[in-house]
Amino acid sequence: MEMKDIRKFNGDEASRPSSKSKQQQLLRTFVYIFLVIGSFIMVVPFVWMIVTSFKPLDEINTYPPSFFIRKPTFAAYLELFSIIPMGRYFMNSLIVTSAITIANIFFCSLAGYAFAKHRFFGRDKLFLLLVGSMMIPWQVNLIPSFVIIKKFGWLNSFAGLIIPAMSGAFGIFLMRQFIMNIPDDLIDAAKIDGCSEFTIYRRVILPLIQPALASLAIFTFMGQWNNFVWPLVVIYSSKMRTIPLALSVLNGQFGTNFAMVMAGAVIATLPVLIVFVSFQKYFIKGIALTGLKA
Amino acid sequence: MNCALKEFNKHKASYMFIAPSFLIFTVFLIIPVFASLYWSFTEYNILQPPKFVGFQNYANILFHDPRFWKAMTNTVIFVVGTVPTSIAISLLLAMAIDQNIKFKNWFKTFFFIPSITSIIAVSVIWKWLYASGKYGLFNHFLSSIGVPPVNWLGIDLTLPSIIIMSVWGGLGYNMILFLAGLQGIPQVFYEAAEVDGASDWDKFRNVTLPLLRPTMVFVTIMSIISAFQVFEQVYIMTYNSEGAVGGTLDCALTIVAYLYETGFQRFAMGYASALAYLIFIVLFIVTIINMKIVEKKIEY
Amino acid sequence: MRGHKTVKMIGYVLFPLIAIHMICLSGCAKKSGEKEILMWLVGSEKQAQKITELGLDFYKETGVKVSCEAISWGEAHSKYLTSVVGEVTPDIGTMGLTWGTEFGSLGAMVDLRKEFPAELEEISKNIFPGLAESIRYKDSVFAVPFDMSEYIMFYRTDLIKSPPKTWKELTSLLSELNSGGKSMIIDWGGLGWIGYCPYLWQSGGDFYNKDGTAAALDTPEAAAAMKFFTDMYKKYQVPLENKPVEQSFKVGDHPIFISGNWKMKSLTDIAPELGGKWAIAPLPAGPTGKRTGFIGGRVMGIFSMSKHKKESWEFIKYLSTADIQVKLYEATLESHDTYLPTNMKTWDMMPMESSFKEPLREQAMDSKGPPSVLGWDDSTRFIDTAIQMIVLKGKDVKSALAEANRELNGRKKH
Repeated sequence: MEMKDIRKFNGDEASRPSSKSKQQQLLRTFVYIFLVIGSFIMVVPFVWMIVTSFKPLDEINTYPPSFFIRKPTFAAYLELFSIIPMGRYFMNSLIVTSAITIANIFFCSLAGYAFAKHRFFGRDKLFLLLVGSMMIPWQVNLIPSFVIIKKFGWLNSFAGLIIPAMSGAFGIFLMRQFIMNIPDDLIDAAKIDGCSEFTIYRRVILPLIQPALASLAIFTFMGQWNNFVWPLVVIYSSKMRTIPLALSVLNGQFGTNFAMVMAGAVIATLPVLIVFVSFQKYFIKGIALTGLKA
Repeated sequence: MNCALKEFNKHKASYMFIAPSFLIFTVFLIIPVFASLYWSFTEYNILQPPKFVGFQNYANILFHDPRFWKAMTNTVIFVVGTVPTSIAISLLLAMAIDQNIKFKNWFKTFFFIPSITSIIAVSVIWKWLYASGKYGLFNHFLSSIGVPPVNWLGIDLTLPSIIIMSVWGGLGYNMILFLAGLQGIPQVFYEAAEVDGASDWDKFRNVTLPLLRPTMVFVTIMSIISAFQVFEQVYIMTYNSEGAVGGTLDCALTIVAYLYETGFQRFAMGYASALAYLIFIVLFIVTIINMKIVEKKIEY
Repeated sequence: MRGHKTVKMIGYVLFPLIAIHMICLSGCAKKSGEKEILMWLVGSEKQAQKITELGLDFYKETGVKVSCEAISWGEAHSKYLTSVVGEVTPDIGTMGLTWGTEFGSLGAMVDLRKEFPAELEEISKNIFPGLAESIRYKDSVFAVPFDMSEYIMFYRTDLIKSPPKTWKELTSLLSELNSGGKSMIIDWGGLGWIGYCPYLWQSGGDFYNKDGTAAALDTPEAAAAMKFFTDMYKKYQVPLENKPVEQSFKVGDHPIFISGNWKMKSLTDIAPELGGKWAIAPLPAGPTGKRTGFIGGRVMGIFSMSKHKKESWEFIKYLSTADIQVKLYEATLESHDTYLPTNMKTWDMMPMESSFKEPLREQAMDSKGPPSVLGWDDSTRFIDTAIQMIVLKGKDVKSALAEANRELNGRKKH
């Protein structure tokens, strides 16, 4: 159950044609300044999070606030790992998130292809239903879905966490948009060669939408890794917990050990960051659709 | 005959392709949706069987519930505050990164970092940034330039403060979408424009903007839908130990936060479901209007 | 394609790991035949582990295994709710003071009064009176206190010579502080009913009348208390927004504040350099001479779906004995938790400095919890609104209270 939107993502390594006019140079300088200041604003809270995780308790709520740590310490991390079996929760999160991500890539692209390129009875109505479903706040579906999961006997299990999220309206929508841009010629050519639909999907469609797949993967991974509410209600034994659940217990009512909360947040963010950075290379330039004009 | 077979095949494949997704969709979305639709016509506290009350929930919400209208107003303010701002800034960002500059990937990553940081950490940090008196970082800066401290999370400013925080957090997403859109504009068009002697501004106006429209539409609709349903930030920034959400005198109560409080803190699931369907109706209308406006424009 | 190789590699690494992990998980199945009770603690992981540890001794004595897991405050309500719906409740659940009544009246929790009347009486006798009163709902008791949190006053001994003992002394102290640009912070319950209730009680009023049949905010006592409370914000510069209490206490801008006893721990952690320079005192006394404060905390109850009700009750009794409570208290000295024992006998044995213990004990003897009237939880909002309207929107006390009173009466269930 994803609560965040999945957006179309297609990064690019190539550059625009550059001319060396003075105007361009000035513009570029402004651009750099703009980007650097912007990056700073974006990143400062994140840096603060990391810095705080290494501070001893009495330095956290100081006035005036400071980025410098007089006595940096790993205490927060050590305490975190001693209280919480992070290794186990990490694995739980990893299993659940990876399974959901892989399933989404597969199911959403399949369905997206059907909606984009096939013509079948009820296609547009079903699609409208799909899009409409995104407008209903997830909170109301929580209890009924929970009851259904219970009836299947999937409470407190990986199945309960993974199966309901294996496909989603957003992923399908995203895939459909992207696949719509693929020229029909290619598909027709494959059909003439006698390929089955599945082969077309595998050999023609999939390779062409790698950037979209990669972006769906990133967004799904991100959304599921940080997903909190569904695991909260489905999981009731501590050994099945995922990381967000584990970290929420650190936020006590009577005063929070901020260093530990930040340490937990740093650990939680690392995998997503790694996935993001490593998937960057799959964002090949929007496969030269320009070269495929009729 | 070959044609007929192929036609049948095509359809069979289509249904098989969408089958797994729709199976999940039906069981975990459609059924719950109808269940909660039914509940919206009942009084239901989850622990005991529902009691049918017809349209009473809806009537109470629309005519007897000032909190609903307050939440609706707040939500509209939130949408108006975040969507145009976020779209404008992220478009600028995307265009800036799209230029021939170094460190593209670094910048992309930096701007995306807020989106991948856990919401708990983000809100803890922003709560500290916004802390009152001289102890919060923002007020600290203000005092260093001689401005008296601002009560960021007081009754007047909580909603704007959450708006700022949300724009900050959502820039990464939209920026990346716009980058994709910009990349999708074939070079050919720019080259043709240059041959015609177009200036940078002309290129932007006549090539970039029109061809970016599909992306713009997508981003706008999705942003509105998700802004309307804002929940996590409001919940975390305004949650107090009583379980109430929305801040002093509901100053930052948004419609979904209200729904959550009603259903999960006060166990009034019937009422909460009715709220949800009202939200759905509003969103549906908004989206349809959006799409109608778009259809009128000409596309390349 | 590049992608496939990487995916394959990931697969080769992941699958064995997953397999091992799943085997480990299932290997942790419990031996059949042994009774085991599960307890959920709304609190920190460390405290839950301590309870599991104490459960080991319990196991030695009774042969019943105990495991305790922590759940976070913010989500506990929906967690308990879904656990009841999903029929996967723990045996024992700790929860906020009024939730016991809330869940209990809907049938989800065992009525301890019906099931174990004599032993419940035993426990209640030893608990602080205000606390014992607040767990009662009509003729039922659905949960027994696990720990308690009190309202107490903190002050800097180097900046304030002696703590105010009456309302008058408080206001004159505040005026004095105001002239230096300083004031007091009301940290727990600021601009809300928890902040208001001590004054309400100290002036002889209450939220409901004696038999809980009608709301009582339209009385002159309630109005006097409300005026006093809201004046602190309007006249005596008590901050409206949430200030970081420890910091401004350290700096001296707010050398006195009212909050819960857990601030004792956080002051020691966050402002160790203030050691020896601060103390606590009971709240100033109101017109009736009483210093009644608010008492909250966690209660523990048995879920109706539990299959080990008797064993659960044994463990609850175990946790309420003086020795065990001392152990729980001692555990908090190392962690960042808070725990105040509810058993009055425990207090004699508790290794706490008497300069802290005595004010806490004194205040605890004169404290009340939230009213155990069904519909209370729904109604607190309106009291908060009344307070906020008076302070922030200039509404007058009488009409604000009248409106709140109407709502309280309207929400009251039977």
